[in-house]
Parts: sequence; structure tokens; C-alpha cells
Amino acid sequence: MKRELTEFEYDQIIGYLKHSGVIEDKLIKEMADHLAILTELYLGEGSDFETSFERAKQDVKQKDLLEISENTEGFKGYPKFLGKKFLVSFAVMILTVFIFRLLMKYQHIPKHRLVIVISRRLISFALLPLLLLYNLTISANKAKQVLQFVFQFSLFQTIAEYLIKQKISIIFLSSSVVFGLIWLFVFLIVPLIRDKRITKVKKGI
Amino acid sequence: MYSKELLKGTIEIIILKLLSENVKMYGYEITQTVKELTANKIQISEGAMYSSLHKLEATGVLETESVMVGKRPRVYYRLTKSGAAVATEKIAELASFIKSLNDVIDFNVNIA
Repeated sequence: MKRELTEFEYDQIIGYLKHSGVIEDKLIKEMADHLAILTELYLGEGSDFETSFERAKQDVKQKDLLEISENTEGFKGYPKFLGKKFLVSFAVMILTVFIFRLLMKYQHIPKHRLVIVISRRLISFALLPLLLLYNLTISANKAKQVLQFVFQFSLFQTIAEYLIKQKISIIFLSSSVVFGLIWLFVFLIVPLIRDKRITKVKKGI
Repeated sequence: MYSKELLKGTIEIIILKLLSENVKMYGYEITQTVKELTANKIQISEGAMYSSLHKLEATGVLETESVMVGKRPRVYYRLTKSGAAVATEKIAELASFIKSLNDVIDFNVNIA
């Protein structure tokens, strides 16, 4: 018959987790439940609590607990609200500021230069770093993400330069084109060629 | 049992697949389900599984719910609305990857 842990035994698991360096409340509850299930499983095989808990601790080692704890803190360090939705809204907001600035210029409203400075600072010091952070947090292909970021950076700057000065910056445009081409070549054309070659080789076989 | 290198990169997709087929699951349940479905060939370590679950939660793919089971709380995971789309995309990507892998290394197996 399955024996459930007593409150005292469960508290011992909580104490062990805290002693092992797990500090976040939610994580303590989650890991305590995991260890409790394992302990109850061994209790069901006839072992006493101490032996069962020792066996559970062998299954979920202290180094695993520390790894989980550290990783969780790291992941939770990235604020949830800074997701795709937020970044798109932020980009739209900056674009609106640019359009507003154009209207100010044509209406000869003073201090439109201030709007330019604000929008450029928002792009350089807020939107682009947030984009990089978001891209690097989502998955692990760093090379692809960094290239994507550099491409986005050049493209944003090209558009910004055009909206501000009404002319295309050759440096930013050429870098956008170069990075765009690298992107196309590395992540689209090469895999496509490789795919076709493999199919041909297979057909030959 | 498969090596860590082979499992790397697939743990998140395994979790997403299981959660797309079950409304909600908790950590221990996920490890056991994977073991049962694969006849113990895939054993996800607690360190890797909880790290993946927390990463998916932090990025908004999963959400959690704490439910009292007896006298103790249990943390359940479920896909968010946007997470369901991510799951479909990732599962399709893995299926395509396995097909391509089959092209490179002819396993003589049919993958549906």
C-alpha cells in the first residue's frame, strides 16, 4: 500500500533543498514535490523514510539541484513582458515618432530635432539591444541570431537615416545588403543546394 | 540509453510535444511518460528537464499552475496560446530535420 509522507518528513525534504542552495519558493515547492514522489515510491517498496529519501537524493543529485536553481534564476532574469509582442509594439511606436517628426518638420514646428534625437537614442540604446537579448534568449543558434541582429541593426539604421535626412546612407544600405546576402546564402541557398545534391546522390544510388 | 549529445536540442521539443497532447503535466510525470514511451531509451535528467521547463516558461511558451495535491503543492505546466504555435512549429522542424537526416544517413526507415 502506498504510504504518503508525513508533514515532518516533507519538511525534512524542504530543509534539504534549502540547505542545498535552492532559494526560490516556487522552485523549492516543485523540487520538493519531485523528491517526495520518488521517496514515496521507495517507501512503497518497503524501505524506511531515511533510506527512501537517500535513494531519492541519489536520483536528483545536489549538483542537479544547483544547476536547476542557477539556470532558473538566469531564465527568470529575462522579463516576460519583453516578448515579441512588446518588441513589435515598441518598433511601431518608434516608427510613429519618426512620422510625427516628419509632420513637425513640414509644419515648421520648432524642436523637431529633439524628436530625432529621442527616436535615434531609442533605436540604438533600447530597441536594438532588446532585440539582440530576445534573439539570444529564445534559442541556441548564436551564429544565426547574431547575423540576424546585425542585419536588423543595419536595416533599422538605413530606414532611420532615410526618415531623418531624406536620403539613403550608403554605408548602412551596403551593410544591410551584404548582411542580407550572407543571410540568404548561408541559411537559404546553401541548404537548398545541399538538399538537391543529396536527393540527386540518393537517386543515383 | 541515448547519449546526452543526441538528446541535446530535442528535450524542449519532447516537452512541447507531450504538452500539446496533454492539457497539463508536472515535472515527474514528464520524465516518466518519456521513459514509458521510449522503453527507457530516452531518460531525461532532472537538471536538463527542469532547466528546459523554466526556460520555456520564462520565454512565454509555457505557463504554470500550482495545484494542491493532498497537503502539498504541485506545479503543472501547460502551453500558452502563443506556445501552442511554437510547439507546432518546433515539432514540424524536428520532423523535417529527421527526414533530412534520413537523407544523409540512409537508415532504411520510413518516417511518416
